[in-house]
Amino acid sequence: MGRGALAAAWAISLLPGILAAFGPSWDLGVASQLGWALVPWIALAGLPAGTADPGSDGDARGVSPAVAAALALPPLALTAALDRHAGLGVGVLAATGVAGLALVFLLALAARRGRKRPLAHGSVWLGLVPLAALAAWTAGLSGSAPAWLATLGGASPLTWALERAGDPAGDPVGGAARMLGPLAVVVLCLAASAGAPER
Amino acid sequence: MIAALVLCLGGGVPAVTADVDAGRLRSARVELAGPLERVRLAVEPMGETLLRGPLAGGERRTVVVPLPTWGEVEGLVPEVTVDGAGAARFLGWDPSDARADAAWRALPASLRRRPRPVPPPPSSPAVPLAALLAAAAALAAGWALRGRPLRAVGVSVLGAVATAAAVETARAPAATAGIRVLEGEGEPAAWFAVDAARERLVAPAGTSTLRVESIPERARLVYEVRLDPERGGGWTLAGRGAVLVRIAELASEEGGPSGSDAAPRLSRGANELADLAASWVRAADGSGWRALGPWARGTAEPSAGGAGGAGAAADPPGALNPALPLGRRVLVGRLAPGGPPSRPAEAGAVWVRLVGLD
Repeated sequence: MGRGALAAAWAISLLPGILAAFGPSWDLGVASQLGWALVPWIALAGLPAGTADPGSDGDARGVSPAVAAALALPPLALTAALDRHAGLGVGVLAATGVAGLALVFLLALAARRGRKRPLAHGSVWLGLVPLAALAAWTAGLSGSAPAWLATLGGASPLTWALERAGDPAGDPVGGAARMLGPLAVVVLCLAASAGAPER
Repeated sequence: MIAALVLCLGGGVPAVTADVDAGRLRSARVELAGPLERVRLAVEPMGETLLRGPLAGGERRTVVVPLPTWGEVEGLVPEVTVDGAGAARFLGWDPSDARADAAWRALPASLRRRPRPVPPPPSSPAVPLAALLAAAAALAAGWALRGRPLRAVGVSVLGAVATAAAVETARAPAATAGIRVLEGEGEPAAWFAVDAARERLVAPAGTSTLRVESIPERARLVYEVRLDPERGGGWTLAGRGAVLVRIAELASEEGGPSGSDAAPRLSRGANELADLAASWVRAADGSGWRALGPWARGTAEPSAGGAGGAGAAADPPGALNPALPLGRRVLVGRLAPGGPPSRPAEAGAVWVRLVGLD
């Protein structure tokens, strides 16, 4: 993740809590601040990082996947603590936090490896993470989403995080089966980023 | 209505229609078959109820449990999910709410419509500044150390701990602070007790609740109760950004001044309710408040500005001094700590507000 993405993820993740400090009219109605906090980190961790810079490991422009996940910890801890005071269970919060951090790490890893294959990684990431979530959300608004689109959209890690933000206690611990779709998408992103550099 | 969790047996239950003036909780009948660790009944976007187990394998129960709703519940079917190998099934809305609704409507209309007490505002903003600073410092330090991943991770972990601790420290008092007001009207007075808290309301085991409200009226609520009353029979209600209000019949909850079911009497001639650490009266014509000072239980109304009253504020707190009706003398008092009636530890200060002190 680059400096700009880090700053944006950090600020957006705390936005509901910061706005709520200005009064009830600024309340965004987010049910779980932790779920919301995961949305920008998941969205930006996998952002294609551009072409590889020969001879450089990229640290001058960004951070490693492990550091990216670690830098997400303070805002996630902050929002989890706020959720706990709002009545959400520690088990649900811990499961959401750990699963979300794992997604952040794996997406960042795919993005870092994808610098050698920017087209392949970028296409898979764009299609299965932001576009799938956006398409499913748009179709959901009309109430006539085809089953395949709902399945595709549900597999997006972004959709998973948005579900956590809107219904944090639903389907206890998010349901292990509920994680299969997002994990499959992450594996596809990693697979697309692996291999020899594109020409 | 909401005696924590009512266990009962029975067959089919007809659906009922909630009055639009009904409170925020409506009773549902649910059949449970163990083993179950947790059951969730959700009526979105109104809220959800969480039943905490465990329920042993082979054990079957039919329970009546409140669900956060608003408006009419006829036709509403909650979404049921379980954590465990057992099953749970929604049987229908329980008609037992009708009794509580009738008891509620039997109270004087002006008493029912009296503005609800407002709990103290949170002592900290939604995100404490100290937590924000800790998170920002961790981000900056982690970025500076990005070339040394182990150190960056260590700094971030420390930052996360500091951030959570800052939230914990700043929000602990605000999360539990509440207010309890014993509302009375007439002579002899009709009474009920109101507990109001921000975001989280805890009802101890064994308490009987007449009605639950939220401000705003359509806040999403989470009601939580244990299936096994021996492991904590009380319930918890949470609602982000909401003021949660629980109304209970005073006589059934406090038992009256001498343990009887009779409502306590409070008149100019005698205070049979409780020791008041401070008290104020407003004349029937609404011509302003007078501080009476302390008013001991078992004594007549003290003269204005009597012993202990000189240092008292001229008016009661504004939150307890809304547009109360004219034509009757009004009393507002703060109960002395430790005096009857008993109250939940989370309730904070206890006040009494009586319209019709004659």
